[in-house]
Amino acid sequence: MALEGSLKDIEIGDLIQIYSSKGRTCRITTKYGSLEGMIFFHEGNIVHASVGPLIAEEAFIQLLKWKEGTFKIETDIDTDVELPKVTIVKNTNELLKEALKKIEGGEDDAILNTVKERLKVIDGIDNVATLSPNDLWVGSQIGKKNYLATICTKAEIMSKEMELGEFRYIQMQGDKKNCFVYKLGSGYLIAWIKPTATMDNVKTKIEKEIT
Amino acid sequence: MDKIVDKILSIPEVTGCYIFGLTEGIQAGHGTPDGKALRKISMEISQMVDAFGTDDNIPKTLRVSYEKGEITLIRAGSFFIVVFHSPTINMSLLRIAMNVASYETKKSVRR
Repeated sequence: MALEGSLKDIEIGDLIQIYSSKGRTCRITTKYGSLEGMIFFHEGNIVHASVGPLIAEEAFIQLLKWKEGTFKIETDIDTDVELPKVTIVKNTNELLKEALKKIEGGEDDAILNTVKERLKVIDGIDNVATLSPNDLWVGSQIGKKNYLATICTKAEIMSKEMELGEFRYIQMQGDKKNCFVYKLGSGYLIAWIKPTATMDNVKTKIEKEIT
Repeated sequence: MDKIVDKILSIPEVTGCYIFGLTEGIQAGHGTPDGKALRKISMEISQMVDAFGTDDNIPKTLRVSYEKGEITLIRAGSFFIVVFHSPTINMSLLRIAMNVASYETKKSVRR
């Protein structure tokens, strides 16, 4: 029988420590709006994690950040049938320690903000915004209110579907606005381009700053 | 519409071309991806275009670039022409062809 509850009552990190220390084989599934995540334990070791289009450690880090939503823990797992493809090989303690370090350090946010400031001064750029991984996963289910998060999530899903490799950028030219969306670490940078600027010239300048 | 698709497909490094309406789905096209993958991609593209369409700013063109391939869209009235191609394609040539295709699609709908 599955155990279900709210992430407002217990943090994912605590659940991980409980099931890891007991050496259990189980599946923790999480849900927030339409977004679903999963962490699979095999004999106490995390062997797979997924959320939206992300898998492995990248997904694990995102799931650790969830403060809201529901969880379900299933322990009656038939490992012959239900064991997923192993995407995480690290020891669970090490995995947890590294993920927490990344979250606390806010590495992604720091990089995004540094590059954002550099892009703002580029001639031809009207405005720059960032989407940190947190914005992305919460925003992707809010819908149009946070439409850029939807766009980035869709771009990542298409890459997985078509095996196109790493997502690089989106270039959009519209009736009133033009923009570039670049991936940086686990986050995204969105640069709105002045209607008078040449897109290709601005693109070259952005890529110079990003790399 | 098949002629419009064939013209785009004749450009080197184009792997697939489709014309679809946001409500009607795929109207014409062939190449890769196809089948189930194409249906899934079409759904994602529709939602992406829809999301870009907020703020009264419907995209005229949209280019999504990946390490191993790219997807370029151009609006043609109530339709979108979606082209799958390699990242090394000559974009100037593709843009010219897609602008012509957009014009021809709009014209064929008016008839």
